[in-house]
Amino acid sequence: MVNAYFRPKSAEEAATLLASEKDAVLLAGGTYLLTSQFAKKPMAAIAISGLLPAAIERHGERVIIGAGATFQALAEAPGMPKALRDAALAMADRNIRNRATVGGNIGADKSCASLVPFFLVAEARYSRVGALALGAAEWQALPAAERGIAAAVEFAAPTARRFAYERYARTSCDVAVLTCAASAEFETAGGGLAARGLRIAMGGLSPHARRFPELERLFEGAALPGKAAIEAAAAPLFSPVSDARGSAEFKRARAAALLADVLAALANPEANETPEARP
Amino acid sequence: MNVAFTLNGRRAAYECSADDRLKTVLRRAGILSLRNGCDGEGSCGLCAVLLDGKLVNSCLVLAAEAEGREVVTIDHYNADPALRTIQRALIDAACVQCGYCTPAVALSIRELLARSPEPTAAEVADALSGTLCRCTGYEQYFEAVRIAAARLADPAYAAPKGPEFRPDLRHVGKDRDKVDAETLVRGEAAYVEDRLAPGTCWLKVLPSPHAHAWIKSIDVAAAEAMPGVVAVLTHENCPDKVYTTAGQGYPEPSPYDQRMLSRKVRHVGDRVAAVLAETPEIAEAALSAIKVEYEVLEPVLSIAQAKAPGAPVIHSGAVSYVAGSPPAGTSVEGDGRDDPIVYQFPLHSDPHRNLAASATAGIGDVEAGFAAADLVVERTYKMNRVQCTPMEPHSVLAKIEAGRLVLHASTQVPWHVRRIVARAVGIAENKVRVIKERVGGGFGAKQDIVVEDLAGYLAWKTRRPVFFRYTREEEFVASRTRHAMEITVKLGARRDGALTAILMRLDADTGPYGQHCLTVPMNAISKSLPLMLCENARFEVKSYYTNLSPAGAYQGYGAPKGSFALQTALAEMAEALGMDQLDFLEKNRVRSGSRIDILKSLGEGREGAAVTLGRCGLGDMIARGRQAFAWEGGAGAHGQSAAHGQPAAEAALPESAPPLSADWKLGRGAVIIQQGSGLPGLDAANAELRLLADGTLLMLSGGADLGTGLDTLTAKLAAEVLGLDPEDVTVISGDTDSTPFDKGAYASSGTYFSGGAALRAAEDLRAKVIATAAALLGEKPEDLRIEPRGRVVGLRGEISLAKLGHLSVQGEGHGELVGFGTFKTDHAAFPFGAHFVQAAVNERTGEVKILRYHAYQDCGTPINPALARGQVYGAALKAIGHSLYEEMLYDERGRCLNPRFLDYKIPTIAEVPPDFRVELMPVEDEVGPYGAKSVSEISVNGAAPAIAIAIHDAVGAWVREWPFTPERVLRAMGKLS
Ligand SMILES: Cc1cc2nc3c(=O)[nH]c(=O)nc-3n(C[C@H](O)[C@H](O)[C@H](O)COP(=O)(O)OP(=O)(O)OC[C@H]3O[C@@H](n4cnc5c(N)ncnc54)[C@H](O)[C@@H]3O)c2cc1C
Ligand code: FES
Ligand code: FES
Repeated sequence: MVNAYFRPKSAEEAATLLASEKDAVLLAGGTYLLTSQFAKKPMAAIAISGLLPAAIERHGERVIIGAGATFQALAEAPGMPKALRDAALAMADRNIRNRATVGGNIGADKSCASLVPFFLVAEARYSRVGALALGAAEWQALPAAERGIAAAVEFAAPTARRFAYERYARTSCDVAVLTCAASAEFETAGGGLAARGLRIAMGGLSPHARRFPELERLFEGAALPGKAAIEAAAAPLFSPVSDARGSAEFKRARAAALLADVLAALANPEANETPEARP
Repeated sequence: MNVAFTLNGRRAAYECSADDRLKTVLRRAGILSLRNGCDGEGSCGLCAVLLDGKLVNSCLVLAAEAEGREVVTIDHYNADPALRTIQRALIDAACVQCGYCTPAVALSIRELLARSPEPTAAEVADALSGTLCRCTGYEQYFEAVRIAAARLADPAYAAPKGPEFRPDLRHVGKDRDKVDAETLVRGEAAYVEDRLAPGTCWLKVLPSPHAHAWIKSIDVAAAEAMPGVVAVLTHENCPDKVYTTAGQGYPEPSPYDQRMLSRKVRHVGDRVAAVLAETPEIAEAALSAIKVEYEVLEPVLSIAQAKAPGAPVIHSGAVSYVAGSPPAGTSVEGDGRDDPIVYQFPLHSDPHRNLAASATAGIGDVEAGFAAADLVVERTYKMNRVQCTPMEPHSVLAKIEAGRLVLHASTQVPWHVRRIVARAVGIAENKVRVIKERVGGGFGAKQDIVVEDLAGYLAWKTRRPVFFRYTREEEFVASRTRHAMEITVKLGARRDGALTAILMRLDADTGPYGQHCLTVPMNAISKSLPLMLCENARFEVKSYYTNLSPAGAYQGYGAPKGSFALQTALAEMAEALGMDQLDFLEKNRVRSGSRIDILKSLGEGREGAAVTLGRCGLGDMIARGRQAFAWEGGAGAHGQSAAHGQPAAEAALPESAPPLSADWKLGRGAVIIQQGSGLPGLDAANAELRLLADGTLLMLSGGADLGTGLDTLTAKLAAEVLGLDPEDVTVISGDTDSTPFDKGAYASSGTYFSGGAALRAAEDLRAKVIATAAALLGEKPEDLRIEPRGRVVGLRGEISLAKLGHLSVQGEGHGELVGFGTFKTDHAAFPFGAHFVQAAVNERTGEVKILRYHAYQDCGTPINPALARGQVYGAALKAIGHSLYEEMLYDERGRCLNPRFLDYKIPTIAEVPPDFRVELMPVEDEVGPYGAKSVSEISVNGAAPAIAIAIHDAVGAWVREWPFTPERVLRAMGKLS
């Protein structure tokens, strides 16, 4: 329930209102905050659309995405890693993509937030309005009330580094049950391709998407094993909860299969099967 | 605050609150095309607008956020040639069914074509990815976009004609515009929600938080004292009467076991109290002020719990029978506390043991049949609850006019609404008028009187106009769902594949009340067993009360479940015999001239009789499917296809199939299905056709068009008989005051019964026209014929219908010319079908993708082929959803865990199989209008068994519980414990 509506003239003014107004919330695309689940929550909405950068730019290896950019803009932006585009298109509902923003996705930080796993494995930094930038995981670690306003997301995408992203959802247009992003550089070692600097992040297994250092260690520095071996090694490390979307046992197995698929795609981008890919 | 923006090209300014959504403000301003399918969850897309050119859901946009921006709704485009082109294309491609989603669809396509004038199929799917449509199956939207794009590029473009039937007729068998399509495609006022006048009060219900409880005390004083509250109703001040909500022919084969409000609640979401208030907000506030003390009882949450000895008793009131006596050994004495249960006639029930109804019958001797078998297979199949999810939830506007109760209803059964509401309110039927508005999807749920009794009573009591519309959550938990069932099928067969015995044991979960408790499960038998020729067949049906959401009618009624169980069991038997499943079906199926003896035991509420089939098109349909699926090539081991388990990556897949890795294995399945066409001997329909003064026609049909095209059908039949065009016929339907009685839209009766009545009315009018013209022309009636357009031509002269119409209203004329038609019959007309599926199954994840779905369908003469195909597409895609992911889930306290579209998934356009095909292969019926039979319901019967068989063919595992979620597939494959 939006009890009060503010339209500040600048991002700084928005930051001041956010700090001073009771029940203040930032209103970006509203595809999370304005849904019926919050119909009873008192909110003083501070409208930030138009106040934050929305450009999506690539300067050599560096990618900068304005927090005000929509998912649709991200999906259409040229020069982005394919995995990021897959992550944007994982939000399969175009009506929502037209409004939902990058800032809103990291602000809501839902367990299956489409973009968050990618930003985690890209070790992205979030620049903020009137405050120091934070790493993606640092942002998550802060209580929501202390995060302030994300202005842009920045990360490095060197040519040598590969990214892959996939999700599991019950239907094509469902919100994901599980998400997985991975990133690594590869070098030839011992007759195969060894993953260096492997990063893995998954959503749907904890209240927020997170990195899995225990998995990263498992596969770091060696040629990636086959899917069955990855599944067998990874499954015991997951502890999902049973809910309407599947039992814990199923989700564990499914998460392991998802990870295996993502790592296989990472190792062999040519064969990367991307059910998410749409125009 | 005041918000100003450009609305459809004009400056507009509105006063609004901080919380107001753009949708609320626009609807307040009279933009009716914005619909509501999800109560602002953001998941249905039916409230879409273009905001600065982008398609967005207006329920998720604060009105204040529109300041200074450009907002476009479909209404604007009525002057826009591009939108007119798209709207026209939607009509041409037969995409407008109930129409509730159509404005959003049109707007999505408008936005798509503005950015991509020649879109690919993937772009079309993406453009419509946010729009839910439950009726159409989406397939024809692709065609609509193709037509619109071509016409925008070349206005002279003529869309290719679809298949036509009955070359001897002008309109029947040819595609014509749906009569309500223009109104719906423009988003004009059509539904109950569009009829609200200032001063209308809002009705809201306090739902039970418990699955099973007595209300110990209820205190409504604070609620009643609130300003703006008009009335509060509880079990203490509502009429003390029981009835059934089932809109079935009277006397109903459903127990009267429901009171308007009871002191016992029997499911989570059951009615505890109702508040009528001047605004919805006040009604909500008043509900929160009601204090209730419950005595919570142990709930019954499964069939197994319901039948367990010593199970909690859900209905403990006195049981009585209007006709007949209780079955021996059952208890009828009430506990003095619960509401009574009244059976109109015995249903072999024992409610105090939670048994709502049962039936057992058969032919031959099944035990002897099993003894004679070389092989016996016995399997149990389980089917969970699915929800009808019409995009427009149940909705009614009740008001008092000239001392009578008038209900504007979104219903399938206006006359049953009148009868049941009159009983519930305690007034005579002549004091009630029911006007069926355009219905935003019914699918069976609106065969029940779910909102009309409360709204009607409160309007009658308070004399205020009452609007009652279910929320999406209420639609899930307190509307009607498909019965959960467990069916055990035991089959005996000889080595050569001949069936020797079939036994079907069926347990159904009817939920807390007994509407349709016997007829739905019986339908699971009566629409599956007669397909197979077997001398020894028997069924045992039991229907139990539980404390889960109420079950009722849903497209297909019980047939999809019976079909799943029997057809899958047959395929399992084929596997055991090492036969190709289709060869096994072929060997045992009914065919032209077969005598179907089992129908002796399957009379619908009366003595049945064996039927000798006339021509049966199953052979042709199977042959067509075999050819399209290149079925020949010999069976592999265990009856699987030669190519079973083939990696999808190595196969030729349909053009738009997604890329599939080596983890995906291919399988195929085929089934045969049937349904009925209305209830012979039980139901009746009527229609009246008037010749107007200018030679046009007014059809007064009792039929209830739910978006299926029934009104179009009656218009075409009249035009065909009277040598006119459908535009010359206006149809008024489903109004209990101004149109004659019709049983309503259920049991696949629309075309056959309501259409049959319309045809007879037209023939009656033709006879009167000819007799009158003969007198005027001085010729013999037998020498006259009617020719297009509206000319009565004799041997020597002719006279126009316009002239006859004119004379009919003159003092010196012959009086008004009116035809009347009644349709009732003892003839059973069976539509048949053969459905073929190719599925890809991921053997690592258990996911299933349907790559090809072909529905070969015999609906007799398709009166409007494109609309008929639309019914089949819609039904088949719904059934794919039911088979793969739709399922209502409950926790251990009986609370539904997924009563919303974000959690209960229904198919979107992205779920449409890449090769989705419907072919109509008509076999004309002797009695139906111009040989027509029913079409829509049957098409939900094929998907579940065909997919189960295809999954087995792909990965060798039988999944015997629907939906076949990845989790269940993995379990069946032994990959999960
Ligand atoms: C039908 C439907 C489907 C959906 N599907 C998906 C999906 O597939 N994947 C997915 O991830 N999500 C999905 N969502 C959820 C939602 O769309 C996303 O979380 C979206 O990214 C939210 O963005 P927004 O701009 O609309 O945020 P808002 O609703 O405006 O805000 C979301 C939260 O972020 C905060 N916030 C907004 N901007 C900032 C900022 N710049 N800095 C700090 N905090 C900020 C807000 O205060 C709020 O707490 C879906 C929602 C709906 C209704
Ligand atoms: S009502 Fe707006 S998306 Fe459903
Ligand atoms: S026509 Fe789409 S919901 Fe009915």
